[in-house]
Amino acid sequence: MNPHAHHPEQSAIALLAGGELAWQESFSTRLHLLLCSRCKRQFELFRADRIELGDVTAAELRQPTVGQPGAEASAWDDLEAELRANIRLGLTVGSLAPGLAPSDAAVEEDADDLPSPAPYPPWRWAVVCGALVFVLTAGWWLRTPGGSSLPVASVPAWELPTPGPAAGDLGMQVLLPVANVSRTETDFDGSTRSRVIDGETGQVTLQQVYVE
Amino acid sequence: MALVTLALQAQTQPGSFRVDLPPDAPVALVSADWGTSRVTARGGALLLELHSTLQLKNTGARRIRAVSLLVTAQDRTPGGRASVTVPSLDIETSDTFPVHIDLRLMRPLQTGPGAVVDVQLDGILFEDLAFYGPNRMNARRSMLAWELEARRDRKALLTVLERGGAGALRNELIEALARDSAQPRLAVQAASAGRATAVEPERVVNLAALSLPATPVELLSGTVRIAGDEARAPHVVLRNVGTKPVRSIEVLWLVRDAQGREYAAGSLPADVSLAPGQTGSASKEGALRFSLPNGGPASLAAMTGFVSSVEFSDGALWLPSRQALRDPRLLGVLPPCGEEERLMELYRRKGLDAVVQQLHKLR
Repeated sequence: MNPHAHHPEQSAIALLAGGELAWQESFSTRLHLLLCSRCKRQFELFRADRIELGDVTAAELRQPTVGQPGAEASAWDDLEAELRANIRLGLTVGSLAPGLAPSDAAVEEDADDLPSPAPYPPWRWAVVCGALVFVLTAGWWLRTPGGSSLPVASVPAWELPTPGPAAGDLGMQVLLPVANVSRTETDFDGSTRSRVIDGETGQVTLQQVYVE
Repeated sequence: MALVTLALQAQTQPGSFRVDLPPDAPVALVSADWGTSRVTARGGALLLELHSTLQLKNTGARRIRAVSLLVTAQDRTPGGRASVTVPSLDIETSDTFPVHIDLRLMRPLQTGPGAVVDVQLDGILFEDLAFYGPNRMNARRSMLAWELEARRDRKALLTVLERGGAGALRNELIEALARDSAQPRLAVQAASAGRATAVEPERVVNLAALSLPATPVELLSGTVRIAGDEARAPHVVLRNVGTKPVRSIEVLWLVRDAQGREYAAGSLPADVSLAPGQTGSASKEGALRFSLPNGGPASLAAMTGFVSSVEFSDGALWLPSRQALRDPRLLGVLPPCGEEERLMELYRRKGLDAVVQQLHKLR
Protein backbone atom coordinates (compact mmCIF):
# COMPACT_ATOMS: atom_id res chain seq x y z
CA MET A 1 0.00 0.00 0.00
CA ASN A 2 1.30 3.41 -0.82
CA PRO A 3 0.91 5.51 2.30
CA HIS A 4 1.08 8.77 0.33
CA ALA A 5 -1.77 7.86 -1.98
CA HIS A 6 -4.52 9.34 0.22
CA HIS A 7 -3.37 11.95 2.69
CA PRO A 8 -5.95 12.80 5.31
CA GLU A 9 -7.52 16.27 5.20
CA GLN A 10 -5.66 19.01 7.10
CA SER A 11 -8.76 19.48 9.23
CA ALA A 12 -8.67 15.82 10.24
CA ILE A 13 -5.03 16.14 11.31
CA ALA A 14 -5.83 19.31 13.25
CA LEU A 15 -8.76 17.63 14.98
CA LEU A 16 -6.60 14.64 15.80
CA ALA A 17 -3.98 16.95 17.33
CA GLY A 18 -6.68 18.34 19.55
CA GLY A 19 -8.08 14.93 20.44
CA GLU A 20 -11.38 15.80 18.82
CA LEU A 21 -11.49 13.41 15.87
CA ALA A 22 -14.12 10.65 15.84
CA TRP A 23 -12.57 7.31 16.76
CA GLN A 24 -13.06 5.62 13.37
CA GLU A 25 -11.30 8.45 11.54
CA SER A 26 -8.82 8.80 14.38
CA PHE A 27 -7.77 5.18 13.91
CA SER A 28 -7.21 5.46 10.18
CA THR A 29 -5.49 8.85 10.48
CA ARG A 30 -3.14 7.59 13.17
CA LEU A 31 -2.31 4.63 10.97
CA HIS A 32 -1.51 7.01 8.12
CA LEU A 33 0.72 9.12 10.37
CA LEU A 34 2.77 6.07 11.22
CA LEU A 35 3.58 5.66 7.54
CA CYS A 36 3.69 9.24 6.28
CA SER A 37 6.37 11.56 7.64
CA ARG A 38 4.88 14.64 5.95
CA CYS A 39 1.52 14.27 7.66
CA LYS A 40 3.21 13.39 10.92
CA ARG A 41 5.17 16.65 10.74
CA GLN A 42 1.92 18.49 10.12
CA PHE A 43 0.39 16.75 13.11
CA GLU A 44 3.33 17.78 15.33
CA LEU A 45 2.98 21.39 14.18
CA PHE A 46 -0.71 21.44 15.02
CA ARG A 47 0.00 19.91 18.39
CA ALA A 48 2.75 22.45 19.13
CA ASP A 49 0.41 25.31 18.16
CA ARG A 50 -2.24 23.91 20.40
CA ILE A 51 0.12 23.67 23.35
CA GLU A 52 1.32 27.22 22.73
CA LEU A 53 -2.24 28.51 22.56
CA GLY A 54 -3.09 26.46 25.58
CA ASP A 55 -0.43 28.31 27.56
CA VAL A 56 -2.17 31.55 26.83
CA THR A 57 -5.77 30.53 27.10
CA ALA A 58 -6.20 27.49 29.24
CA ALA A 59 -5.23 29.03 32.53
CA GLU A 60 -7.22 32.14 31.81
CA LEU A 61 -10.28 30.33 30.54
CA ARG A 62 -10.54 27.43 32.92
CA GLN A 63 -9.19 28.88 36.14
CA PRO A 64 -10.69 31.61 38.24
CA THR A 65 -9.59 35.04 37.05
CA VAL A 66 -7.19 36.33 39.63
CA GLY A 67 -8.12 39.61 41.08
CA GLN A 68 -11.76 39.53 40.14
CA PRO A 69 -14.21 40.41 42.88
CA GLY A 70 -14.61 37.03 44.54
CA ALA A 71 -11.69 34.99 43.32
CA GLU A 72 -13.98 32.03 42.72
CA ALA A 73 -15.57 33.77 39.75
CA SER A 74 -15.02 31.37 36.88
CA ALA A 75 -14.36 32.06 33.23
CA TRP A 76 -17.89 30.89 32.58
CA ASP A 77 -19.26 33.62 34.85
CA ASP A 78 -17.21 36.15 32.91
CA LEU A 79 -18.54 34.83 29.63
CA GLU A 80 -22.08 34.94 30.96
CA ALA A 81 -21.64 38.56 32.04
CA GLU A 82 -20.25 39.40 28.61
CA LEU A 83 -23.22 37.73 26.89
CA ARG A 84 -25.68 39.52 29.15
CA ALA A 85 -24.04 42.88 28.39
CA ASN A 86 -24.23 42.24 24.67
CA ILE A 87 -27.83 41.07 24.85
CA ARG A 88 -28.76 44.16 26.86
CA LEU A 89 -27.07 46.38 24.30
CA GLY A 90 -28.66 44.50 21.41
CA LEU A 91 -32.12 44.87 22.94
CA THR A 92 -31.57 48.57 23.54
CA VAL A 93 -30.32 49.22 20.04
CA GLY A 94 -33.08 47.06 18.56
CA SER A 95 -35.71 48.98 20.43
CA LEU A 96 -34.28 52.24 19.14
CA ALA A 97 -34.98 51.23 15.55
CA PRO A 98 -37.23 53.84 13.87
CA GLY A 99 -40.87 53.36 14.60
CA LEU A 100 -40.38 50.76 17.27
CA ALA A 101 -39.76 52.86 20.35
CA PRO A 102 -40.24 56.35 21.69
CA SER A 103 -37.26 58.56 21.10
CA ASP A 104 -36.05 59.62 24.50
CA ALA A 105 -36.99 57.22 27.24
CA ALA A 106 -34.82 54.44 28.54
CA VAL A 107 -35.76 51.06 27.17
CA GLU A 108 -35.94 49.40 30.54
CA GLU A 109 -38.36 52.02 31.77
CA ASP A 110 -40.43 51.84 28.60
CA ALA A 111 -40.93 48.12 28.61
CA ASP A 112 -43.95 48.36 30.92
CA ASP A 113 -45.62 50.99 28.77
CA LEU A 114 -45.68 49.00 25.54
CA PRO A 115 -49.17 47.78 24.46
CA SER A 116 -49.81 44.11 25.28
CA PRO A 117 -49.54 41.84 22.25
CA ALA A 118 -52.62 39.91 21.07
CA PRO A 119 -52.89 36.46 22.72
CA TYR A 120 -51.50 33.59 20.66
CA PRO A 121 -53.91 30.86 19.52
CA PRO A 122 -53.57 27.61 21.54
CA TRP A 123 -52.18 25.58 18.60
CA ARG A 124 -49.10 27.84 18.53
CA TRP A 125 -48.39 27.02 22.16
CA ALA A 126 -48.67 23.31 21.33
CA VAL A 127 -46.14 23.71 18.50
CA VAL A 128 -43.74 25.62 20.75
CA CYS A 129 -44.06 23.06 23.54
CA GLY A 130 -43.56 20.20 21.09
CA ALA A 131 -40.42 21.86 19.69
CA LEU A 132 -39.08 22.44 23.20
CA VAL A 133 -39.63 18.80 24.17
CA PHE A 134 -37.86 17.73 20.97
CA VAL A 135 -34.87 20.00 21.62
CA LEU A 136 -34.56 18.89 25.25
CA THR A 137 -34.83 15.22 24.32
CA ALA A 138 -32.30 15.59 21.53
CA GLY A 139 -29.99 17.51 23.86
CA TRP A 140 -30.20 14.79 26.51
CA TRP A 141 -29.61 12.08 23.93
CA LEU A 142 -26.63 13.84 22.32
CA ARG A 143 -25.08 15.10 25.55
CA THR A 144 -21.31 14.80 25.74
CA PRO A 145 -19.96 13.28 28.95
CA GLY A 146 -17.49 15.65 30.57
CA GLY A 147 -17.99 18.21 27.87
CA SER A 148 -18.37 21.17 30.16
CA SER A 149 -15.34 22.91 28.71
CA LEU A 150 -16.88 23.20 25.25
CA PRO A 151 -18.73 26.49 25.71
CA VAL A 152 -15.66 28.08 27.23
CA ALA A 153 -13.71 27.45 24.07
CA SER A 154 -16.05 29.78 22.25
CA VAL A 155 -14.79 32.89 24.04
CA PRO A 156 -14.27 35.41 21.24
CA ALA A 157 -10.74 35.57 19.93
CA TRP A 158 -10.49 39.33 20.31
CA GLU A 159 -10.32 38.94 24.04
CA LEU A 160 -7.10 37.00 23.87
CA PRO A 161 -4.02 39.04 24.68
CA THR A 162 -2.32 40.51 21.67
CA PRO A 163 1.24 39.35 21.13
CA GLY A 164 3.78 41.10 23.28
CA PRO A 165 7.00 42.70 22.09
CA ALA A 166 9.21 40.95 19.60
CA ALA A 167 11.01 39.05 22.29
CA GLY A 168 8.56 36.24 21.60
CA ASP A 169 9.20 33.38 23.98
CA LEU A 170 11.29 35.54 26.19
CA GLY A 171 8.60 38.18 26.05
CA MET A 172 7.68 40.48 28.85
CA GLN A 173 4.17 41.65 28.61
CA VAL A 174 0.99 42.55 30.33
CA LEU A 175 -1.30 39.60 30.84
CA LEU A 176 -4.82 40.62 30.05
CA PRO A 177 -7.69 39.01 31.93
CA VAL A 178 -9.98 37.34 29.42
CA ALA A 179 -13.29 38.83 30.48
CA ASN A 180 -12.25 42.46 30.55
CA VAL A 181 -12.10 45.06 27.85
CA SER A 182 -8.55 45.82 27.01
CA ARG A 183 -6.45 47.79 24.62
CA THR A 184 -2.74 47.34 24.06
CA GLU A 185 -0.20 49.71 22.57
CA THR A 186 3.39 49.04 21.68
CA ASP A 187 6.02 51.77 21.50
CA PHE A 188 8.85 51.92 19.01
CA ASP A 189 11.28 50.96 21.78
CA GLY A 190 9.31 47.79 22.54
CA SER A 191 7.57 49.01 25.70
CA THR A 192 4.04 47.69 25.98
CA ARG A 193 1.12 49.58 27.47
CA SER A 194 -2.29 48.21 28.21
CA ARG A 195 -5.57 49.57 29.47
CA VAL A 196 -7.85 47.03 31.12
CA ILE A 197 -11.39 47.87 32.19
CA ASP A 198 -13.14 45.58 34.63
CA GLY A 199 -16.67 45.58 33.28
CA GLU A 200 -18.19 44.59 36.61
CA THR A 201 -16.58 47.16 38.88
CA GLY A 202 -15.66 49.77 36.27
CA GLN A 203 -12.11 49.86 37.64
CA VAL A 204 -9.43 50.72 35.12
CA THR A 205 -5.88 49.37 35.34
CA LEU A 206 -3.11 50.81 33.18
CA GLN A 207 -0.04 48.61 32.94
CA GLN A 208 3.22 49.38 31.21
CA VAL A 209 6.25 47.15 30.80
CA TYR A 210 9.46 49.04 30.10
CA VAL A 211 12.36 47.78 28.06
CA GLU A 212 14.65 50.75 28.63
CA MET B 1 19.84 21.81 36.25
CA ALA B 2 20.10 21.30 40.01
CA LEU B 3 21.33 24.86 40.33
CA VAL B 4 18.32 26.15 38.43
CA THR B 5 15.97 24.13 40.63
CA LEU B 6 17.62 25.43 43.78
CA ALA B 7 17.46 28.99 42.47
CA LEU B 8 13.76 28.62 41.68
CA GLN B 9 13.01 27.12 45.08
CA ALA B 10 14.84 29.94 46.83
CA GLN B 11 13.05 32.56 44.81
CA THR B 12 9.53 31.22 45.16
CA GLN B 13 9.57 31.08 48.94
CA PRO B 14 7.19 33.35 50.84
CA GLY B 15 8.77 36.80 50.89
CA SER B 16 9.87 36.57 47.27
CA PHE B 17 7.28 39.19 46.46
CA ARG B 18 7.70 42.35 48.51
CA VAL B 19 5.46 45.40 48.78
CA ASP B 20 7.41 48.32 50.09
CA LEU B 21 5.45 51.51 50.82
CA PRO B 22 7.06 54.54 52.48
CA PRO B 23 6.02 54.94 56.13
CA ASP B 24 4.70 58.45 55.49
CA ALA B 25 2.70 57.41 52.40
CA PRO B 26 -1.00 58.29 52.43
CA VAL B 27 -1.80 54.66 51.59
CA ALA B 28 -1.09 51.49 53.56
CA LEU B 29 -1.03 47.87 52.50
CA VAL B 30 -3.93 45.89 53.96
CA SER B 31 -3.28 42.58 52.21
CA ALA B 32 -1.39 41.10 49.26
CA ASP B 33 -2.68 38.04 47.47
CA TRP B 34 -0.16 36.69 44.97
CA GLY B 35 -2.67 34.16 43.65
CA THR B 36 -1.26 31.99 40.92
CA SER B 37 1.93 33.99 40.41
CA ARG B 38 4.77 31.75 39.34
CA VAL B 39 8.43 31.82 38.48
CA THR B 40 9.88 29.66 35.72
CA ALA B 41 13.37 29.39 34.30
CA ARG B 42 13.88 30.26 30.64
CA GLY B 43 17.47 29.76 29.58
CA GLY B 44 19.56 32.12 31.65
CA ALA B 45 16.61 34.14 32.86
CA LEU B 46 13.64 33.86 35.14
CA LEU B 47 10.20 34.45 33.71
CA LEU B 48 7.93 35.91 36.36
CA GLU B 49 4.23 35.66 35.77
CA LEU B 50 2.55 37.89 38.30
CA HIS B 51 -1.12 37.72 39.21
CA SER B 52 -1.78 39.67 42.32
CA THR B 53 -4.38 41.75 44.06
CA LEU B 54 -3.13 44.24 46.60
CA GLN B 55 -5.63 45.82 48.96
CA LEU B 56 -4.58 49.36 49.81
CA LYS B 57 -6.12 51.74 52.33
CA ASN B 58 -6.31 55.52 52.09
CA THR B 59 -4.67 56.62 55.33
CA GLY B 60 -4.41 60.28 54.34
CA ALA B 61 -6.87 63.11 54.70
CA ARG B 62 -7.59 63.70 50.99
CA ARG B 63 -9.62 61.76 48.44
CA ILE B 64 -7.46 59.68 46.11
CA ARG B 65 -8.09 59.88 42.37
CA ALA B 66 -5.24 57.68 41.08
CA VAL B 67 -2.44 55.45 42.32
CA SER B 68 0.65 54.24 40.49
CA LEU B 69 2.90 51.40 41.60
CA LEU B 70 6.32 50.48 40.30
CA VAL B 71 6.86 46.72 39.92
CA THR B 72 10.53 45.80 39.63
CA ALA B 73 12.03 42.41 38.97
CA GLN B 74 15.37 43.77 37.81
CA ASP B 75 16.19 47.39 37.11
CA ARG B 76 18.70 46.87 34.33
CA THR B 77 17.05 44.00 32.45
CA PRO B 78 14.84 44.86 29.48
CA GLY B 79 11.34 43.86 30.54
CA GLY B 80 12.35 43.83 34.19
CA ARG B 81 10.31 46.85 35.20
CA ALA B 82 6.67 47.78 34.93
CA SER B 83 4.20 50.26 36.29
CA VAL B 84 0.62 49.61 37.31
CA THR B 85 -1.66 52.62 37.53
CA VAL B 86 -5.27 52.77 38.67
CA PRO B 87 -6.97 56.00 37.58
CA SER B 88 -10.61 57.17 37.88
CA LEU B 89 -10.74 56.34 41.59
CA ASP B 90 -12.75 58.10 44.25
CA ILE B 91 -11.34 56.78 47.52
CA GLU B 92 -12.28 58.49 50.73
CA THR B 93 -10.15 58.51 53.89
CA SER B 94 -10.03 55.06 55.54
CA ASP B 95 -11.55 53.32 52.51
CA THR B 96 -9.76 50.35 50.96
CA PHE B 97 -9.43 49.57 47.27
CA PRO B 98 -7.86 46.81 45.17
CA VAL B 99 -4.96 47.11 42.73
CA HIS B 100 -4.69 44.22 40.29
CA ILE B 101 -1.32 43.24 38.86
CA ASP B 102 -1.23 40.94 35.82
CA LEU B 103 2.24 41.10 34.31
CA ARG B 104 5.00 38.99 32.85
CA LEU B 105 8.49 40.22 33.70
CA MET B 106 12.04 38.97 33.23
CA ARG B 107 15.09 38.90 35.47
CA PRO B 108 18.43 37.18 35.26
CA LEU B 109 18.68 33.78 36.90
CA GLN B 110 20.52 34.40 40.12
CA THR B 111 20.33 33.34 43.73
CA GLY B 112 21.26 36.65 45.31
CA PRO B 113 19.43 37.89 48.39
CA GLY B 114 16.33 40.01 48.25
CA ALA B 115 12.86 39.68 46.84
CA VAL B 116 12.26 38.47 43.30
CA VAL B 117 9.72 41.20 42.79
CA ASP B 118 9.55 44.54 44.53
CA VAL B 119 6.41 46.66 44.47
CA GLN B 120 6.87 50.30 45.38
CA LEU B 121 4.71 53.38 45.32
CA ASP B 122 5.45 55.69 42.39
CA GLY B 123 2.74 58.23 42.91
CA ILE B 124 -0.69 59.22 44.15
CA LEU B 125 -2.94 61.86 42.60
CA PHE B 126 -5.49 63.50 44.87
CA GLU B 127 -8.84 65.06 44.12
CA ASP B 128 -7.30 68.56 44.17
CA LEU B 129 -4.70 67.34 41.59
CA ALA B 130 -1.90 67.50 44.19
CA PHE B 131 0.66 64.74 43.79
CA TYR B 132 2.61 62.56 46.22
CA GLY B 133 5.43 60.17 45.36
CA PRO B 134 8.89 59.75 43.85
CA ASN B 135 7.51 59.89 40.28
CA ARG B 136 10.28 57.67 38.90
CA MET B 137 8.30 56.52 35.87
CA ASN B 138 6.61 59.86 35.27
CA ALA B 139 3.40 58.65 36.87
CA ARG B 140 2.31 62.19 37.64
CA ARG B 141 2.05 63.11 33.99
CA SER B 142 0.05 60.04 32.96
CA MET B 143 -2.29 60.21 35.96
CA LEU B 144 -2.87 63.94 35.52
CA ALA B 145 -3.54 63.51 31.80
CA TRP B 146 -6.05 60.75 32.50
CA GLU B 147 -7.78 62.79 35.22
CA LEU B 148 -8.04 65.94 33.10
CA GLU B 149 -9.34 63.96 30.11
CA ALA B 150 -11.80 62.18 32.40
CA ARG B 151 -13.11 65.47 33.80
CA ARG B 152 -13.44 66.87 30.28
CA ASP B 153 -15.39 63.85 29.03
CA ARG B 154 -17.60 63.47 32.10
CA LYS B 155 -18.48 67.16 31.88
CA ALA B 156 -19.44 66.76 28.21
CA LEU B 157 -21.62 63.72 28.96
CA LEU B 158 -23.22 65.47 31.92
CA THR B 159 -24.09 68.39 29.64
CA VAL B 160 -25.72 65.95 27.20
CA LEU B 161 -27.69 64.45 30.09
CA GLU B 162 -28.84 67.80 31.44
CA ARG B 163 -29.80 69.19 28.05
CA GLY B 164 -31.32 66.15 26.38
CA GLY B 165 -32.23 63.81 29.22
CA ALA B 166 -31.46 60.11 29.66
CA GLY B 167 -32.38 59.32 26.06
CA ALA B 168 -29.81 61.72 24.68
CA LEU B 169 -27.10 60.32 26.95
CA ARG B 170 -28.03 56.80 25.93
CA ASN B 171 -27.82 57.72 22.25
CA GLU B 172 -24.41 59.33 22.82
CA LEU B 173 -23.12 56.14 24.45
CA ILE B 174 -24.58 53.87 21.79
CA GLU B 175 -23.03 55.99 19.04
CA ALA B 176 -19.66 55.81 20.79
CA LEU B 177 -19.97 52.02 21.14
CA ALA B 178 -20.92 51.70 17.47
CA ARG B 179 -17.97 53.86 16.39
CA ASP B 180 -15.62 51.84 18.52
CA SER B 181 -16.79 48.48 17.23
CA ALA B 182 -16.69 49.69 13.61
CA GLN B 183 -13.18 51.03 14.00
CA PRO B 184 -10.55 49.27 11.93
CA ARG B 185 -7.72 47.92 14.06
CA LEU B 186 -4.24 46.70 13.42
CA ALA B 187 -2.18 44.50 15.67
CA VAL B 188 1.13 46.14 16.49
CA GLN B 189 4.32 44.42 17.57
CA ALA B 190 7.79 45.71 18.18
CA ALA B 191 10.07 44.49 15.41
CA SER B 192 13.75 43.81 15.88
CA ALA B 193 15.73 46.81 14.73
CA GLY B 194 17.68 46.26 11.57
CA ARG B 195 15.97 43.03 10.65
CA ALA B 196 14.91 43.05 7.03
CA THR B 197 11.91 40.78 6.93
CA ALA B 198 9.86 42.80 4.52
CA VAL B 199 10.07 41.96 0.87
CA GLU B 200 9.49 45.57 -0.13
CA PRO B 201 12.46 47.94 -0.01
CA GLU B 202 12.63 50.50 2.77
CA ARG B 203 11.65 54.07 1.88
CA VAL B 204 11.62 57.32 3.81
CA VAL B 205 8.10 58.71 4.05
CA ASN B 206 7.30 62.25 5.06
CA LEU B 207 4.91 62.38 7.95
CA ALA B 208 1.65 64.19 7.29
CA ALA B 209 1.35 66.66 10.17
CA LEU B 210 -2.08 67.39 11.55
CA SER B 211 -2.50 70.42 13.78
CA LEU B 212 -5.28 70.54 16.37
CA PRO B 213 -6.83 73.88 17.35
CA ALA B 214 -5.10 75.75 20.21
CA THR B 215 -2.12 73.39 20.32
CA PRO B 216 0.85 75.01 22.09
CA VAL B 217 3.30 72.83 20.13
CA GLU B 218 3.08 72.43 16.39
CA LEU B 219 4.30 69.40 14.53
CA LEU B 220 6.20 71.04 11.65
CA SER B 221 7.40 67.95 9.81
CA GLY B 222 8.58 64.43 10.31
CA THR B 223 9.82 61.30 8.65
CA VAL B 224 9.44 57.61 9.17
CA ARG B 225 11.08 54.70 7.33
CA ILE B 226 8.52 52.27 5.96
CA ALA B 227 9.13 48.83 4.50
CA GLY B 228 6.10 46.67 3.83
CA ASP B 229 4.42 46.12 7.17
CA GLU B 230 7.16 47.79 9.22
CA ALA B 231 7.63 51.42 10.26
CA ARG B 232 10.86 52.42 11.94
CA ALA B 233 12.85 55.31 13.38
CA PRO B 234 10.27 58.13 13.49
CA HIS B 235 11.68 61.63 13.60
CA VAL B 236 9.58 64.74 14.20
CA VAL B 237 10.35 68.46 14.17
CA LEU B 238 8.34 70.58 16.59
CA ARG B 239 7.91 74.23 17.46
CA ASN B 240 6.68 75.72 20.69
CA VAL B 241 4.06 78.24 19.52
CA GLY B 242 2.77 78.90 23.05
CA THR B 243 3.94 81.20 25.81
CA LYS B 244 5.24 78.66 28.33
CA PRO B 245 8.33 76.45 28.22
CA VAL B 246 7.58 72.81 27.38
CA ARG B 247 9.28 69.72 28.83
CA SER B 248 7.50 66.81 27.16
CA ILE B 249 5.02 66.03 24.42
CA GLU B 250 3.13 63.07 23.06
CA VAL B 251 2.49 62.52 19.34
CA LEU B 252 -0.30 60.19 18.22
CA TRP B 253 0.19 58.19 15.02
CA LEU B 254 -2.26 57.21 12.35
CA VAL B 255 -1.15 54.81 9.61
CA ARG B 256 -2.74 54.45 6.20
CA ASP B 257 -2.53 51.17 4.37
CA ALA B 258 -2.26 50.63 0.63
CA GLN B 259 -6.07 50.45 0.39
CA GLY B 260 -6.41 53.92 1.90
CA ARG B 261 -7.81 52.79 5.27
CA GLU B 262 -6.57 54.67 8.33
CA TYR B 263 -5.80 53.15 11.69
CA ALA B 264 -4.69 54.48 15.07
CA ALA B 265 -1.18 53.17 15.50
CA GLY B 266 -0.09 54.28 18.95
CA SER B 267 1.80 57.15 20.43
CA LEU B 268 5.27 58.59 20.70
CA PRO B 269 5.93 60.17 24.09
CA ALA B 270 9.09 62.26 24.08
CA ASP B 271 10.97 64.49 26.49
CA VAL B 272 11.76 67.76 24.73
CA SER B 273 12.93 71.05 26.12
CA LEU B 274 11.34 73.86 24.14
CA ALA B 275 11.29 77.50 25.16
CA PRO B 276 8.50 79.65 23.66
CA GLY B 277 9.18 80.13 19.95
CA GLN B 278 11.90 77.47 19.92
CA THR B 279 12.11 74.66 17.37
CA GLY B 280 13.37 71.21 18.32
CA SER B 281 13.14 67.60 17.33
CA ALA B 282 12.37 64.22 18.81
CA SER B 283 13.11 60.78 17.47
CA LYS B 284 12.91 57.14 18.47
CA GLU B 285 14.89 54.11 17.49
CA GLY B 286 13.21 50.79 16.98
CA ALA B 287 10.53 49.54 14.66
CA LEU B 288 6.91 48.50 14.74
CA ARG B 289 5.32 45.79 12.67
CA PHE B 290 1.62 46.05 11.80
CA SER B 291 -0.64 43.15 10.97
CA LEU B 292 -4.25 42.86 9.93
CA PRO B 293 -6.89 41.31 12.21
CA ASN B 294 -6.64 38.08 10.21
CA GLY B 295 -2.92 37.91 10.99
CA GLY B 296 -1.71 38.90 7.54
CA PRO B 297 0.85 41.68 7.17
CA ALA B 298 -0.50 45.20 6.67
CA SER B 299 0.91 47.12 3.75
CA LEU B 300 1.78 50.58 5.03
CA ALA B 301 1.56 53.53 2.67
CA ALA B 302 1.67 56.66 4.83
CA MET B 303 1.66 57.97 8.36
CA THR B 304 0.03 60.98 9.98
CA GLY B 305 0.89 62.47 13.35
CA PHE B 306 -0.43 65.14 15.65
CA VAL B 307 0.52 66.49 19.06
CA SER B 308 -1.95 64.97 21.52
CA SER B 309 -0.63 66.33 24.80
CA VAL B 310 1.94 68.83 26.04
CA GLU B 311 3.49 69.04 29.48
CA PHE B 312 4.83 72.45 30.46
CA SER B 313 7.85 73.03 32.66
CA ASP B 314 5.62 74.08 35.57
CA GLY B 315 3.88 70.68 35.48
CA ALA B 316 0.67 71.92 33.85
CA LEU B 317 -0.75 69.92 30.95
CA TRP B 318 -2.41 70.85 27.68
CA LEU B 319 -4.87 68.40 26.16
CA PRO B 320 -6.98 68.85 23.03
CA SER B 321 -10.62 69.74 23.52
CA ARG B 322 -13.30 67.12 22.97
CA GLN B 323 -14.49 69.21 20.04
CA ALA B 324 -11.05 69.06 18.42
CA LEU B 325 -11.00 65.26 18.71
CA ARG B 326 -14.38 65.15 16.96
CA ASP B 327 -12.71 66.26 13.75
CA PRO B 328 -14.22 63.96 11.07
CA ARG B 329 -10.73 62.86 10.12
CA LEU B 330 -10.09 61.57 13.65
CA LEU B 331 -13.53 60.56 14.90
CA GLY B 332 -13.73 57.19 13.19
CA VAL B 333 -10.07 56.35 13.70
CA LEU B 334 -9.02 57.32 17.22
CA PRO B 335 -9.99 55.00 20.05
CA PRO B 336 -12.23 56.50 22.72
CA CYS B 337 -10.46 58.27 25.56
CA GLY B 338 -10.00 56.20 28.70
CA GLU B 339 -12.84 57.58 30.81
CA GLU B 340 -15.26 57.56 27.91
CA GLU B 341 -14.43 53.91 27.26
CA ARG B 342 -14.89 53.11 30.97
CA LEU B 343 -18.35 54.71 30.95
CA MET B 344 -19.24 52.96 27.68
CA GLU B 345 -18.35 49.63 29.28
CA LEU B 346 -20.31 50.48 32.42
CA TYR B 347 -23.32 51.27 30.23
CA ARG B 348 -22.93 48.01 28.32
CA ARG B 349 -22.67 45.94 31.50
CA LYS B 350 -24.79 47.80 34.03
CA GLY B 351 -27.09 50.08 32.08
CA LEU B 352 -27.69 53.80 31.93
CA ASP B 353 -28.32 54.29 35.65
CA ALA B 354 -24.78 53.21 36.50
CA VAL B 355 -23.36 55.81 34.11
CA VAL B 356 -25.62 58.58 35.40
CA GLN B 357 -24.61 57.71 38.95
CA GLN B 358 -20.92 57.97 38.03
CA LEU B 359 -21.42 61.31 36.27
CA HIS B 360 -23.12 62.78 39.33
CA LYS B 361 -20.70 61.23 41.81
CA LEU B 362 -17.54 62.45 40.07
CA ARG B 363 -18.82 65.83 38.88
